[in-house]
Amino acid sequence: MTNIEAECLTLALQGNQDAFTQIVEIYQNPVYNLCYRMLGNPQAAEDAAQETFWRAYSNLKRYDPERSFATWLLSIAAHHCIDQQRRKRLMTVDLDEIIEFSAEDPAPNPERTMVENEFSEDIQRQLNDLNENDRAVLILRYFYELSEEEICQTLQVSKSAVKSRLHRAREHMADQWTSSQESQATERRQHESQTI
Amino acid sequence: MNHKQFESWILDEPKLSDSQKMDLQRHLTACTKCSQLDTGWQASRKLIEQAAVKAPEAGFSMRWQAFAEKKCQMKVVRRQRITILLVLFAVFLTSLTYMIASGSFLHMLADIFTGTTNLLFSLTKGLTSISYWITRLPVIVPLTIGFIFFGLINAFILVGLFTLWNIKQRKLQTNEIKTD
Repeated sequence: MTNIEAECLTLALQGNQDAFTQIVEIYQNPVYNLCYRMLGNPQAAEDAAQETFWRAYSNLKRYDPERSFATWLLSIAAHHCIDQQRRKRLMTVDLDEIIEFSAEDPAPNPERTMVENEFSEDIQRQLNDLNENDRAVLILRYFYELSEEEICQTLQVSKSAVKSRLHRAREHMADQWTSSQESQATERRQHESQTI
Repeated sequence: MNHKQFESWILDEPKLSDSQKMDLQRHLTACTKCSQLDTGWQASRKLIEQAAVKAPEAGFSMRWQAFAEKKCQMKVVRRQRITILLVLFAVFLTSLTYMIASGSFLHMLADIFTGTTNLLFSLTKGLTSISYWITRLPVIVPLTIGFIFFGLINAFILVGLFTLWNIKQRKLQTNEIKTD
């Protein structure tokens, strides 16, 4: 944490909302990205990120300065997103809704943006198919490069649980990639036979 | 070495020694299932690494300020409601204590009991006279009334179900608009 962040945090702890807005400015991207990867929808991600910062702001006194502030924020975001997913599943809302929607990225090169979106869409589709607990672990491990111990602290689960969830998530991702490749190959073959 | 061990080497990403790496490579050339698993996971991992970091639309912190303002107002309203409820509860408890202590509470209970009994008695009497008149009417009249009541109940159920369906449809439409 930089000096400015620490200063903002001290002021925010004294109830200064403007100082906390500075913190929001600093951490908006990692928090939003986590919410987006967890929920797969820009609007839901925006709402979840707002809620995460609100929860952090109202529980700031509970923050342990020994821990990393970023990890604490990510922990709140991950728990909130897992709850959202569970609630959504209970409400039996059509899962097709949460499939990738075109969120505009502020990138100068449109070609690069297109390629990135394509990758992003593929990965998001694969992530959406994972169970919310496995998804959270995988996102924290590969998007945020957290170690297994840090994931344990963030999600408040045991190390063995993190390991097994990671194992399950990787296996699921590999299987999905293989089946998507197979279906693409079948489609190509069908297309070729039609053109002949 | 068993098949599970290789699966674990692929998926758990442990640090492998040179000889273990050689073993794995040898196994991957022989085993299609493990080879697919390895290719699949490596490709997925590459996709994750290439995925762009998503950022919110510009003005997120300003939107957060507005959101926080709204939440603060809601907090105040909730606190006010809780205070009002607590005051009402305290008033209720005080009056109850006073009534019990002064003995007027028992009188009130007795009055309520007497009133309810009288009401039930009158109702029973009224119903008996209605049934007396109904038996004197031609059969077609009570039957028609019964049909009308039955129809009305069914209509109410249908209207209720339609309203629920309508609300659900509207909710779905709102969600679609949001996601668009």
